[in-house]
Amino acid sequence: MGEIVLQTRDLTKYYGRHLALDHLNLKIPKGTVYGLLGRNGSGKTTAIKLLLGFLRPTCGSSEVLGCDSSDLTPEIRGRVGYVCEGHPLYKWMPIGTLENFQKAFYPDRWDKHLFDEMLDYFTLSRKQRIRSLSNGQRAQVSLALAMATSPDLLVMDDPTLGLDVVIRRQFLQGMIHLIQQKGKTVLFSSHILSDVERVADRVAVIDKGVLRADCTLEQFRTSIRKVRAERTGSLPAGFDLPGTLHCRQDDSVTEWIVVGTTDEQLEQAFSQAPVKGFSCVAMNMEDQFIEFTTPSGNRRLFEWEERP
Amino acid sequence: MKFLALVKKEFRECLPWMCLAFIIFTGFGALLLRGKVLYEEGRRKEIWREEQVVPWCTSPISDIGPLLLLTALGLGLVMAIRQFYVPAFDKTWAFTLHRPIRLITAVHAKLFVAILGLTLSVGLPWTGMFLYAAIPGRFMDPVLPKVFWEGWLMVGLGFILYLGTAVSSLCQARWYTTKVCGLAFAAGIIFLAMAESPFPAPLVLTAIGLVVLGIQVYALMQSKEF
Amino acid sequence: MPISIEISPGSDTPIYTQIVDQVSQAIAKGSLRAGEKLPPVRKLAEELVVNPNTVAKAIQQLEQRGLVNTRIGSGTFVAEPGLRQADQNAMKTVSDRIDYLIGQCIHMGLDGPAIRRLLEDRLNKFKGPKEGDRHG
Repeated sequence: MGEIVLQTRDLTKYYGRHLALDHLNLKIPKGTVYGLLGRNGSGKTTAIKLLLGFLRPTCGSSEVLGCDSSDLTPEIRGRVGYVCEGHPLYKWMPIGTLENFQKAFYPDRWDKHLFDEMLDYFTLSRKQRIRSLSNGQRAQVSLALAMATSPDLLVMDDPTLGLDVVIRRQFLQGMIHLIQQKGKTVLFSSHILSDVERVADRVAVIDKGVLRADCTLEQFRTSIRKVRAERTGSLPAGFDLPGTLHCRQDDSVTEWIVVGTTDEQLEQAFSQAPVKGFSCVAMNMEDQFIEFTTPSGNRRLFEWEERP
Repeated sequence: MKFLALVKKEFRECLPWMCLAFIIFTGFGALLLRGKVLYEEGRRKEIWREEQVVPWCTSPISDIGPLLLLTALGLGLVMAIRQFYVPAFDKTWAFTLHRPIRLITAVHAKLFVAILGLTLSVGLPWTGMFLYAAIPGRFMDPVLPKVFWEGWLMVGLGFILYLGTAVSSLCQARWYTTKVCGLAFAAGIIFLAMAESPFPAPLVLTAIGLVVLGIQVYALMQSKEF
Repeated sequence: MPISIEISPGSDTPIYTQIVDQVSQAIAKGSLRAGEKLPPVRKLAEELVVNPNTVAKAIQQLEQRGLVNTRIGSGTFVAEPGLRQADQNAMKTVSDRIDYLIGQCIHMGLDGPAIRRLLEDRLNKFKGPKEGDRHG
């Protein structure tokens, strides 16, 4: 798998009685763009904060670039860029002052040329104070500040939450620009699936604190499938396809959402079934994600009858 | 380099409060002092006229004391709130602490600025006022050196309140349980130090307060979740 | 860039397939001629705002189909027509799509001969080399 830059071992976090993260085991190899997917409140931010040492785990451990998260050395922190949701920055500082502040901590790594270019591209002036910037502009400054430190690892926690498509695109461009360089890794959490689909090599899906999937993007896309079959009679009582997540039916058609089911398994299952034939319907990533994270047996909001 | 950058940032954030404290203390202090000087001139005329003169029971400069204490306490309180309470509020803690520095450096920068602020805004003006009052011939009654150190002790008490407020801000418990302890402890030290007591006691109390609260600040920063 | 590639994330087709399809289309139509150089992976990735590995994968698939060649150090070039081979998967995709289109035509009320005429008409619009028919 190559060198591992981020690793967690049974990482668990309780807030009082609420289980935010349940024995997370992740290994993120160097050189990948790793997308952390999950619904709001699923534990993505908790995982990232634990990784960067801002929270203490209830049990388990995590490492960044080989260093334990609860005791990250200045050297390691100097190699990790961190951008978080909301982009909190010192409101009173003009951009130029913030640049000097940031520069002081990364004397060897600061890329002045990149910072200048990015500010120029975003049409931001060094005299503007952070408080006078819009959310999107503040995000741009945040991105520029992180990227100009030439990080080996860029960690972004929902960086484009609530921001418009232009800013989202700029963040994606930034990630791609970084990943083109050898040995750089990006970890970002998002629930904008089209963004993740564009740039991620691997995805991890966290749902209610539990890691539900950890695979390449391609594996995720090809494993979750929708199978439709037109029934000629009622299906036998115990009939089920291997790997079924959900099953729905109306008068004549039954639909299954399956995970990791091979074509051979489908052939075999349908060989004796009273169906006119079956087809695999392609799904877009959003639908795949929704189906994957919806609990089984959960009713759909309208119409279709859920088969128990 | 990194420490300096942190100090500059902390200093700039507390600067408005330092200026306010300086203006209040120097302004009102100067007025008070001027009043004393005028009163002193009146006294001299009375002595010439050989009338009954009530001697100062305390050094005239001591009357600056309450103002000094209040300013020092006020500045300490406000700086601690700005440095330790506000970053949790505007979520910039994570940005500050994700620097290639040791956690302790960030704490040192804040403490350094607090001490610097109290010194510049209150301590130095106090020294100036004392030296002005101590000029021979300014006042008939001697201006005692012990008053000078008492003044600085009050600056120290301002730092105690700063530490107590910092401890309370960092504490993650609720206000009605242990969160208020830092402030309460600081208040206790201040009260005891200001009460009439033989000389070394206020100094010892202040030293104890500094150590206890100082350790608390470090401990809380190490274990805090951001 | 000689052709424009439009990526729609959020569609049913994976992104690398979209790239493969669009480049294949361009080669078939003649917008990309034999021997023409494709932009390097890095440049394409930055322009499309897509992971470079995805682009690399698309190029790999195009190579497998014989549509492009990569020469180490020089770049990726559109292959000569004689060297292209259709592979089974591609044939299946094409057949599926043709079925879909035929279904649409039938719904519209076109019969067999009408469909064939339509196909001929569209084929003529393609400027690439076709059997027995060369345009300048």
